[in-house]
Amino acid sequence: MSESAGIDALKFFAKITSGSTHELNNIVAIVNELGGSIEDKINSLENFDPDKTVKIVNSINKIYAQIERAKSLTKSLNRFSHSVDSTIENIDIIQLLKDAATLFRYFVKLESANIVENYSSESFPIRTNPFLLFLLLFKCIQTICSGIGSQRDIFLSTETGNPFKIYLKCITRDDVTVSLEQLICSLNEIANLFSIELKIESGADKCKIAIEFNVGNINQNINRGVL
Amino acid sequence: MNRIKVLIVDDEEELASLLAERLNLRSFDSDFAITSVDAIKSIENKLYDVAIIDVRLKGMNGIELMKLIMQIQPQIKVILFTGHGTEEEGRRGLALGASKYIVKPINLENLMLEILGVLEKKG
Repeated sequence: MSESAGIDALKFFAKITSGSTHELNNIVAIVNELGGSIEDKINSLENFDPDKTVKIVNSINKIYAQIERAKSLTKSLNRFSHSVDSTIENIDIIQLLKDAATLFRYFVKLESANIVENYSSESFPIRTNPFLLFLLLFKCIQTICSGIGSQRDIFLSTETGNPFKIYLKCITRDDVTVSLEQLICSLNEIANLFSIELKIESGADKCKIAIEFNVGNINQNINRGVL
Repeated sequence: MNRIKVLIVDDEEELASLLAERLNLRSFDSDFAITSVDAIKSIENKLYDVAIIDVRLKGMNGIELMKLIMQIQPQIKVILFTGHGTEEEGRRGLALGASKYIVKPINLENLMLEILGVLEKKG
C-alpha cells in the first residue's frame, strides 16, 4: 500500500469511527431521557410511596452512572478519530492526555494495571501531531504495562513550561519476568521508531522508572519529514 | 400563567418526543418535529418562545433551518443541540444568531435553566 493510500485508509477508518460515535452519542442521549421518563412516571403514580420505589430509583441511578461512562468514552473516541484530520494542529495537550487515559484504560486493565492522572494545569495549548502523540503514548504505556507486573499504577503527569513535559512513572514489582534493562531497551526502540529522545531514568533501587519527553521533539521530526 | 412555548427539532424521533413529553410535564408547552419541513410548518402555525434545533438534521442542516425560522419568527430564541465532533458547528451557530448551544446528552434540569436563561436575556 502506498503512503497516500495508507493515509486515505486511516482517514476512512477515522470517518467511520467519528460518525459512529455521533450515532452512539444519540443512543446515549435517548437512554438518558428514557431513564428520566421512567422517573417522571414513578413520580406521577397515584399513592406514590417513595420507600417502595427506592429500588427502581437506585437502578435508574445506576443507568445514569453508566451513561456518564459512555459519554466520556464516546467523547474521547470522537476526538481520537479527529486526530488524523490534519498532520499538525493546535490542541489542548491536557485534553489529549485525558482522552488517551480514557481510551487506553481498557488495555491497561487487561494487564491488571491502572493509570493515575495528575496534570500540572487544567489546559495547555500546544501545536503538535495529535495522532502520533496518541500513538507514542500508547506504545510507551503498553511497553511499561508488559514490564511492571500486575496490580501496579502508571502515573501520567505533566510539567507546564517550555518545553512542555509529559511524564510516565511507575514502580515495578520484584517478581516481574521482564527486567528493567529489557524494559528500557523496549522503550528506546520506541524512541528510535519516532526518532525522538525519551529521557528514561531508573531509580536507585532499580525498581522505579520514569519517562520524560517533550512534545516539541515530535514537531521537529514532522518538520524534518522524519515522521 | 403563560406557558413557555418550545419547539424541539431533532431527527431522532425518540429523543425529540421524550424531551417534549418531559418538558410538558414541567409546565412547558412543547412540540417536536423530526424534519425541517415539519419544523417550518409548526413555526408557521404557532408562535414559539424557543426553538431547540439539532445542528445535524437530514436534508437541511440545523443552522440553515435556524436562519429560516428566525426569518419567520424574528423574536424566537434558538438553542442548538450538538454532539461530539459538531461543537464547531454550534460555535458557528452562535455567530449566526443562536443564543446557546448544548452538547448532547443533556440533563433536563440544565436544559430548562438554559431555556429560562435565553428568555431572560431577551428581557
